Amino acid sequence: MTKHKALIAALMGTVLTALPAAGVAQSGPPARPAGAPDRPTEIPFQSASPNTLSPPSTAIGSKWSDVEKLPDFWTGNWQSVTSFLDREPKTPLTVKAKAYAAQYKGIADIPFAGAGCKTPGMPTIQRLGSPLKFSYQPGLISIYIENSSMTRFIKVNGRHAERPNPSFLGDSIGHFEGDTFVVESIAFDDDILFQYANFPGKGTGRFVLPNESIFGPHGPNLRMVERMKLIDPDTLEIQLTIYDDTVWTQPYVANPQIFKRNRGDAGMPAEWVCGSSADPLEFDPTTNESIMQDPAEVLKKLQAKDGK
Amino acid sequence: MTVFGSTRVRIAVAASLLVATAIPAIAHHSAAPFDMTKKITISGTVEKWVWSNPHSWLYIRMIKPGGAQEIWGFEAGSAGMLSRSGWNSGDMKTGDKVTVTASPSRNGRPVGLISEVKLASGKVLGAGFGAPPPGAGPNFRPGN
Repeated sequence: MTKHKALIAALMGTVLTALPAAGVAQSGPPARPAGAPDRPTEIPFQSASPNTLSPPSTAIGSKWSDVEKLPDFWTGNWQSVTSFLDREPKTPLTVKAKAYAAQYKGIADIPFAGAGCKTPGMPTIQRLGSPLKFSYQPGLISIYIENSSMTRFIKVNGRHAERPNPSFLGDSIGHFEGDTFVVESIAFDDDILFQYANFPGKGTGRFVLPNESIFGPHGPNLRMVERMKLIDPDTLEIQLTIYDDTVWTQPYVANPQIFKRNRGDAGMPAEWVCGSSADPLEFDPTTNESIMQDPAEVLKKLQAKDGK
Repeated sequence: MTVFGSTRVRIAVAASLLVATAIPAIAHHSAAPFDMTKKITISGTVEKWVWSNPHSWLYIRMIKPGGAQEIWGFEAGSAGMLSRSGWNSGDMKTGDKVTVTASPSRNGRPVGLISEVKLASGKVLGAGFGAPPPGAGPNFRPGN
């Protein structure tokens, strides 16, 4: 203890002699104005961060060199060619979900179509029309979703957070089973767009529209498992199974999602920022209506913004 | 069928062709506001070309027979998807003469969903809602 005190004193002395001007100029915090609230002068340390990202693992996906052994998810990007809502879902609903569905009124569109393009979250956001871009680092595969400019971060051979906070993309871990990347996601925000079923006789076409589907709340233990694989060099398939026993009496197997690869410049991801105010047509989730303004009025506002 | 008695505005009912090919599945406001069984062709002068997300918008001034003017708004794909389809933010500027082919709004407003734009140079900007990826097949329809 004595030695420590001597060391600290020596260090203080060094600092004071090395920085005499600073010692004079910074003689203490400035006096607070009378009546100003008392503020803490020290920042408390946070507890040590757990590391669920890359626990020791020798499984494939844990080293830089592994990328050469894995299927090529990485080149270019992947554009969906399948419906973003499921066609003819047949998984039986629970009694509670059936009661919910019986009183459900259809929606004209999804919240993504409203102001600010509010993300529908997983799985819908990943199925919309703009492409996905996969990137690799040991222990982490990222999927940039051009719609919304959001990125999923999937801990490869990692663990879920002990107390994951809810999010629109979930807390995701993944591992490889042969050439298939298996991803499990949990901890979803209450506001994700969650398709239960379709209205009787609706949603039977190749592409399903929002007004044909029934959406509802998910349960607290919602879990999504995706199996991602290349079915040919330029075709990616994602097979999703959803586990939520508050909604279905058995696991929900979604329609397989098919993505085609764009290469070259088309394979570059783009940014996505909403809010240009150029759109005279916007869905209002509160009234469940698509509102179409007079384009002449929208143009006037745009030109006024330009200072014309 | 001719509307306004002018070659500037033509509505061609092409239901059989369109149903058999592509109907855009618009994530933002569904396809419902547009009559996808019809196409109109409108020529005019560019007032504003907005390269943006979730959609890009082209506003043009069209002169009707008799001289009255009308502002039309045309929706195109997201900036990223248009870029991928060979479009560019600099392709059109205020004052340019263009001819737009689009699906009209159902409610009669002068609004449409772009199929293609022909520039004064003769260049045609196609796939106004985003080109399909290679190998997408004939039934592809872009999702945003």
